[in-house]
Amino acid sequence: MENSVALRIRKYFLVGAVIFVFIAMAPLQQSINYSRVTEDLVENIVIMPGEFVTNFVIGGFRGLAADILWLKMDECWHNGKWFELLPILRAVTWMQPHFIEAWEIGGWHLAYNLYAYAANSPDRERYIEDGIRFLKEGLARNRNVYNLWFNLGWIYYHKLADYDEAIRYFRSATRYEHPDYIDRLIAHAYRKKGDIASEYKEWLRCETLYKDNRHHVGIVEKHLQKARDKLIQNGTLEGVEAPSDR
Amino acid sequence: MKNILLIANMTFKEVLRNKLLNVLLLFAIVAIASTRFFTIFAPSEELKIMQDTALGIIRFIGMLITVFVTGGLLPKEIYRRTVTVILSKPVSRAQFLFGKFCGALYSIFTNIIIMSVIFFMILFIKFQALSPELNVKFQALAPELIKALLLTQAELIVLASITLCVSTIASEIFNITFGILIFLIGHLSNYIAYLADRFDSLLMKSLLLSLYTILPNFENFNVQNSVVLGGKVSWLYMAKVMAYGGFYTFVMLAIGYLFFAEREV
Repeated sequence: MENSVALRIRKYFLVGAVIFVFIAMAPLQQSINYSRVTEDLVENIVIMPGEFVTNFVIGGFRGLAADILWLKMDECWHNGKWFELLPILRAVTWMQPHFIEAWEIGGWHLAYNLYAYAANSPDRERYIEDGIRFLKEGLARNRNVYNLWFNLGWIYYHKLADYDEAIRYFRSATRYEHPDYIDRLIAHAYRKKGDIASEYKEWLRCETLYKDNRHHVGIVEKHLQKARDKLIQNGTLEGVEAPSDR
Repeated sequence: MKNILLIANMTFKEVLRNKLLNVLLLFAIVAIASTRFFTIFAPSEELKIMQDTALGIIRFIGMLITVFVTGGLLPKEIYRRTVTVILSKPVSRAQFLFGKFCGALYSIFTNIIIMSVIFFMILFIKFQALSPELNVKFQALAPELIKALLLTQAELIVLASITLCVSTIASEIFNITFGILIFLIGHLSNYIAYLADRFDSLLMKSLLLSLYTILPNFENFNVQNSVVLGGKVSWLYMAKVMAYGGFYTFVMLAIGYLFFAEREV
């Protein structure tokens, strides 16, 4: 009898504990949701009825689904299906917004391949705009890596000859771990813009970077000399000061 | 404690003899090893696809092993009447249930660790083959991958507890089907919250939000995508998710015990 009472008490206690723990789990889940947002672990909701990727996504295999779409994109690429690959790239970036290559390839594909493929000038302009918009969308989710800053800067530099914007984006790219050529591209952009004094300052800045990289040092020396010669020719070298630390 | 360990040990040995699970493990090892041969893409893409595939295989095969192991534990004992023999000894039902759970976890952990070691070996070889300079990248990536695998383990513990809880009242086939379904539904929990946000009806909203709270949210344990793409997972997040997993496991085992305590064997 005593045993039976003890057992019943234990059961009631267990039921109470279960209810208590379940209630405690709700704020814990809220806290986890908050952490997922702050740590950038949140993923977009994917609902694609009838699509094979949904089967993977609902199983928690979002990465695999994105890879399969990526393979499909690659196949379209090699078969020249340039317009078909765009929605696939969109789906990949929607599923994995931190997949930088997808944003890079999408932006480049629009601003370069489809630009070259377009029949008339308004279409070409539209594709460049689309490429920029695509990259900016990617940038909104991936601000802490150099890639998309650089890609945007490159389109402004190479396709639109908008050197002010190009410099702005290249400079943003240099705030993160980046390859040496981006620092030099800033100086090149000043040269193309015709601002030799700023170009010279940039080469001086480049001179202080990557001192172990002989390739970089060689290029910088050559261009620094050229810029100096131009400034001497114009008689403005005296007015150019060494750049402050950025 | 001694009883629990004895039952866990027996369960582990029993699971080792299961041919289906050995085949699943073998399949996983071959599939993970084959990711080494993805060589038609750019190096960064190859590495991404390799990690996505291997982590996906570990999770999927881990899920199958979990539901097959835990789904059959109790029904088999009840069918063979061995449970009557064990419970006639000084072993309580709670000890029996917890021992079975520990034995199942023991075998699930062993399988996951084997798959993880193979994955790390293949990944290291791949990094070396691409460029020995990438060693630094591998060293930065490895701890994050370990965190992702730890969370996968935790997810499988929760799944095991749910399947074991159901197995106290249902048949083996039902348990396995239920386990697989709950795994899929658990990964859709965020969709339920998303739907709840879009309903105007208070009743539907409350219903969906209750469902969202009651169902396990397996997406909490899913950080693979972020890790593969170079993201970092904090230890605070790990602790929160582990606590969530611990609470859920406790609830499921407690409910399982309440059912099992009432059951005639």
